[in-house]
Amino acid sequence: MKLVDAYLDYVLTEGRRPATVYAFTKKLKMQEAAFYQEFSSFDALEEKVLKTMTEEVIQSLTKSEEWTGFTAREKVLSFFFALIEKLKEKRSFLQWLQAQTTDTDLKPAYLKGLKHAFEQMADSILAKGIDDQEVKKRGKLSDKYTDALWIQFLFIYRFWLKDTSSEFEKTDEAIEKSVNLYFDLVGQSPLDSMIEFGKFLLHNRPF
Amino acid sequence: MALREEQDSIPTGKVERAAKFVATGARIGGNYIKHYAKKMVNPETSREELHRDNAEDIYNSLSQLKGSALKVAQMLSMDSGVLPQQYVDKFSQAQYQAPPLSAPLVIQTFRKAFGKTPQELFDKFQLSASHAASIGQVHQAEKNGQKMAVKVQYPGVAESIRSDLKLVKPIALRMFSLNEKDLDKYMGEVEERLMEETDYRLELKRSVEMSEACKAIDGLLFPRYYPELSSNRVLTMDWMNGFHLNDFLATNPSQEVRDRIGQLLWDFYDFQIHKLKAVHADPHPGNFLFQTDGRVGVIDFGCIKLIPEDFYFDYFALLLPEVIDNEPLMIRQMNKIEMLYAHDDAHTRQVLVDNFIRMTRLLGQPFRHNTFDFGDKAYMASIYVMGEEISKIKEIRNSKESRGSKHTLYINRTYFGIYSMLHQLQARVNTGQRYWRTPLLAALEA
Repeated sequence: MKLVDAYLDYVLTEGRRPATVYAFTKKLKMQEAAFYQEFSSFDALEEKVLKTMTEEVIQSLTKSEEWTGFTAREKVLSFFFALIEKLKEKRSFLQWLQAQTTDTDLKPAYLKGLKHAFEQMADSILAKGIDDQEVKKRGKLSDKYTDALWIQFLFIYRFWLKDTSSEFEKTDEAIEKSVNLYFDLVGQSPLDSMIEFGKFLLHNRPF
Repeated sequence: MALREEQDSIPTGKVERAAKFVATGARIGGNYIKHYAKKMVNPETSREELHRDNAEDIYNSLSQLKGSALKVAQMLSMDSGVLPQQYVDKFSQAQYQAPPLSAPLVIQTFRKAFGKTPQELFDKFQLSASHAASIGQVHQAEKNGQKMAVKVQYPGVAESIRSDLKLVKPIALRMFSLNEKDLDKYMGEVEERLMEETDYRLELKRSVEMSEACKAIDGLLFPRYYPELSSNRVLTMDWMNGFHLNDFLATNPSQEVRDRIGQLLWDFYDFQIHKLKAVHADPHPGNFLFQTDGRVGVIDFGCIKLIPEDFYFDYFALLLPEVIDNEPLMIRQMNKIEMLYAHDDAHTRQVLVDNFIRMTRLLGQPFRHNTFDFGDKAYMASIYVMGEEISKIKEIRNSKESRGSKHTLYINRTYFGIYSMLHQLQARVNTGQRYWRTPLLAALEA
């Protein structure tokens, strides 16, 4: 995609956005309207880049041979690994984008498209996990499972942006450990058994 | 039991430390209290149970540390002659109980190393590991009709080893009651070996070299290695069949086969130490695959200890009856290998010398006979008893200084590993081929 490549090149060389869409297209010797045919703004372009990458990852993952045999835990692990691996292609761009946002901003605009695709994927994996009883349904709390996974991804994503270990090994470790923790929490846990037993005692007071 | 007046090898350093570990480890667990409380209620409660509890406590805390701590546990587990059986059993599990890598992480590791998934790289690849290795796990694979073993390393092992060792340090300080500087000396040595073990490219190179150098020893089997299917975190070799020691013993091998295997191991180590001066310092049962026909497969050359020339002559002179039976000479050698220090007072010095000679005589018995029966329970028991005795001697127990050069650490570990395996095999070994005597004697004269 010519526009996207040109935009990334501009941003990464200049370290800032073009002043206006007009200035940007002029440099490319294009009509301004050609830009608006594809994107409504620079924001939209940035968002689209990440969204496309995410969709590509999801497509290649779900097509892969081992996917259907995987448990929900393994699916999420694969998803995280593959997504981060894919994002590596545009690491400098992402680091630049992150530098434009504040650390407290949990919903940076450029991640909106990625987030949407991510949540759809997470929803479907978790729903299957609930069917297979790998993930425990816990009333209203279950509705927050996807949100929790997103927060976790955001953590991993930021961790990776700052990771300086060789081959980003630390990020691999972070994914492995945090996703395992996540599934230990959403799966049947001692807490569930405690609550069950508590309920039982409440209804069957022995004394 | 009465000690025969015989000779040499293996200083006490490791023995004391291991024996101290027994005592302090028990304190850590607080299990003695439990033991005596139980004993008040039920006098039948055995010490075995206490040992078991302690081993469990220590093992559990160590096993949470993964990687390098697991190695430390393994090193301790080597000393079967010194630790009660319950400790050994528990620690032996260390190599089989590493936290597994998830299938997606295995795929990810391959993608990073080769740009391909394992399924693309091999004709067949089992995503679930067939067993764990200390810093990774082993997968079975197939390519061009050849069954292969693929070792995959945990991510970040190399980087986390240093921090792991820092975690182990306070425990080790208590266990071995050494001062920090001396502990650092040993820890540095361990760290160096561990860092080497995390480099699978180095392991590949050494494996090829070692198997080439040792191929003349009839009966040893080495797998073929595949550099093109290996990286710094993936190591591919031929799949080798055979039994692990415990499974092998369960097949009730004949005495003849046990002896043949024992001899093979003995010759293999003699060759490495005295000819190559580089030794596979991890003679853990998990690194050998025993064949029912008496051959032995050797896998995992991750831990190779190179023996410096100076140290070789200073240390292995202790194998010579001419040294062990000559106290002034013995003292000279002890000074050289840092068993004695110039500032030791006369009394401490005498205690150390006496006990070191006693220990060396006992441990060196196999080197004084032409054949030695490692199945001799009384012999192994006497090593353990002496270890306990020595750990109770207050001059040694209260010594905050380390005794023995850092090189002795892995050499002792190697010998304890061999003794322990030979004992479990109940092998009778011909130890009379002491071709290394002449150069050692010559060096002594010089």
